[in-house]
Amino acid sequence: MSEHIEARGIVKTFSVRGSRAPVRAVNGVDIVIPRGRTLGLVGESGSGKSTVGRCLLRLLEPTEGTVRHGEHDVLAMKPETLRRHRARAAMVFQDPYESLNPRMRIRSVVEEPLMLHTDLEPSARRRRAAELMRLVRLEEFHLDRFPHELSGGQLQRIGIARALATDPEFLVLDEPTSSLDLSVRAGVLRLLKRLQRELGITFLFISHDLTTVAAMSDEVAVMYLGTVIEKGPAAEVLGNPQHPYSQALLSAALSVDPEGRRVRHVLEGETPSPVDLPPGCPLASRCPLVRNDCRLAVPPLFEVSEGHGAACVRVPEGTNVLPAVGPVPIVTAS
Amino acid sequence: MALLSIKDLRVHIATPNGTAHALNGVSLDVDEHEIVGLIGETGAGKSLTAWSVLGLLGPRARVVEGTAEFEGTDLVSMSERRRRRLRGKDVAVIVQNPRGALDPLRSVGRQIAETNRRHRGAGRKAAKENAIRALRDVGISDPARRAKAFAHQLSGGMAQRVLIALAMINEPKLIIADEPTTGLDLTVQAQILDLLRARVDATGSAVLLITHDLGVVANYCDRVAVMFAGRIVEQGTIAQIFGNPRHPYTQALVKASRETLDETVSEETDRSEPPNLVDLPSGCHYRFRCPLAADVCATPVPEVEVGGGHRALCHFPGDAARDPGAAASVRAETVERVGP
Ligand SMILES: Nc1ncnc2c1ncn2[C@@H]1O[C@H](COP(=O)(O)OP(=O)(O)O)[C@@H](O)[C@H]1O
Ligand SMILES: Nc1ncnc2c1ncn2[C@@H]1O[C@H](COP(=O)(O)OP(=O)(O)O)[C@@H](O)[C@H]1O
Ligand code: SF4
Ligand code: SF4
Ligand SMILES: [Mg+2]
Ligand SMILES: [Mg+2]
Repeated sequence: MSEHIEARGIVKTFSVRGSRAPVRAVNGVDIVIPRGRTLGLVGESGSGKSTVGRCLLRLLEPTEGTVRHGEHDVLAMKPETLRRHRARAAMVFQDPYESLNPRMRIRSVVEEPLMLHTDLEPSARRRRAAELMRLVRLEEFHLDRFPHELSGGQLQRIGIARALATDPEFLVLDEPTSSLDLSVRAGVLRLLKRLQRELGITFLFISHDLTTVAAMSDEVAVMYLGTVIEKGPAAEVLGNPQHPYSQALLSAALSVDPEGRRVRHVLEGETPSPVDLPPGCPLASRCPLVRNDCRLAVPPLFEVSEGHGAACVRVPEGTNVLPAVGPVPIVTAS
Repeated sequence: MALLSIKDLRVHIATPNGTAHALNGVSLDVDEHEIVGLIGETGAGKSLTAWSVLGLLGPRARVVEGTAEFEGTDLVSMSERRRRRLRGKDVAVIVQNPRGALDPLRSVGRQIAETNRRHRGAGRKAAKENAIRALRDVGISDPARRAKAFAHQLSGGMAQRVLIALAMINEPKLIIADEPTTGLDLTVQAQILDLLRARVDATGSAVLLITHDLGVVANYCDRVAVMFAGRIVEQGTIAQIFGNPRHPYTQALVKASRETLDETVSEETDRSEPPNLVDLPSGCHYRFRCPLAADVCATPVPEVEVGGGHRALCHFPGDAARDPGAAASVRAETVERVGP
């Protein structure tokens, strides 16, 4: 198999001051992405998406698990090997304003990874910076500007240029368009797609926006409370969700072209905190379909169809469909 | 008469680089029974519009012109004392950062009960019961226990619901909500917006809903106003704005919301710099980014009524739409591109 990125059994806990029990941010996650493909990672804020992304790049040390990048065992790397590995894999962050130093000129922002991870001469770095600007469709004069002189969309292109500086083969894109205005979002997404096609890069695309994930991903994994509760081909997971949480999530997504009435699946209450997780299905405290065996152990992914699995004990017997509430009338269309 | 009627509102902000012209003549009505969406890119002036109306502008910002009449009385020139009495009673606010808006030293139940006593004269016991009912209404399970919690003990979604309970407890006629569901889980967002909508339909109250999510607008609003550089550049019903946008900026937004990422579309250089509010271009503020810009666009822009209350601020408000046949074919094309 040509799996490019393969992580198994990732667990990440954080100890927090004033609490004896650690936060279990990621609780046994597998991530497999073939070369040149995109895995979309969705889930609500706090479900552990960013932590998974950082573990794959070893920006965080996983508490348990393995991470392979091609033939490399990422977690076994010694510091010098890891430094060189950093040229192979990079991250694009959500908020371009926050992730860039406001006093640094754009040129330094883009050239910094070249200084850190390569031995390029200053003249070669300048040439590469100019090349990167063309790649992300910005005019070269922007290199001499400061971050506050650019729009959010332009700054995110700079974030992408910086991540691409060392010609990496794997990118973790952590909500790269979530803080962008709609008028520039599509441009950035289209840019990412083209870069992937031209450069053959593998993407982990993290987002809580289902429309964006649908447009970008080959496969999708849905996270809830530190576990992947469903995964499979994007069209399958987003079009035919099987886990009760995925069903509720997708039924709450709002189309810009609503069709009069929509059916909704409602989950009451709130996501529990990832401290002192009870054993068993993470949704058990909110799931209207809960029964005794849900609380015994974290359910494995049960196969729904080829490559599509959902971690709900009711999947094998087909009783996993949430009752619909509604249809909810849409009031507009006047 | 509209419940809220904003007329030609202009706000200046003192900055180290000079005076920022942040609001440049905002006019907008909100009627009873309706939710009006206010959309536009970051920095367009959406929050500033809300704060001007509520009298909550910071020290460096100042309303230099315009009125905002609530039930016929101007809020801008009203004394702060009267305005404060109105806020929390007939006009309520829901802000984006709920934890910052709650008092860290009083339990959430006490905060809600106290505003109910102060503004509606409820007795101690009744106010406490009202607070618990309000918490239940916003979908908080075990509200009697939750009422005893303090702001820092709540998750973001829970704190946002508490803020909504706080805003609704006195049955305000107008709610101004600034990105009330940004950052919340979709399942929680749906609960909260359903609640707002049900409240508006049942009581005749009104909501000015600031958001950047066109899905929220299309599903929950009656009308929508689009802002750019401190002006409303287009407003109309949901059907008008989504079905037949006339301003080039709105057209770009609506198109982006249905983007299918067709890679055959040619990629141009990104020229989306925000306009400099200290030195705005003459005429149309959008002209440096507008694909239709012509010489005339440097002259004052007319607000054009394009039919049925649908208005656009543009010299060329949707050329295609001048001829109904052409408009229909543009729409058909859009539908085809987007698919069923
Ligand atoms: N450095 C940290 N210390 C303590 N808790 C953390 C830290 N980073 C993340 N967490 C917690 O781990 C959980 C998952 O966080 P995160 O991966 O950021 O989620 P997401 O990206 O899906 O929003 C959250 O409960 C968060 O509060
Ligand atoms: N207190 C302030 N000082 C200086 N500038 C401000 C202040 N408040 C708002 N602004 C500026 O006014 C403009 C409009 O801001 P805002 O209303 O917050 O926009 P929006 O809510 O549409 O994103 C922005 O350019 C912002 O930087
Ligand atoms: S395993 Fe049980 S609690 Fe979890 S989603 Fe399935 S039915 Fe609900
Ligand atoms: S007035 Fe001119 S520049 Fe402004 S939006 Fe209309 S066509 Fe474009
Ligand atoms: Mg995150
Ligand atoms: Mg704002």
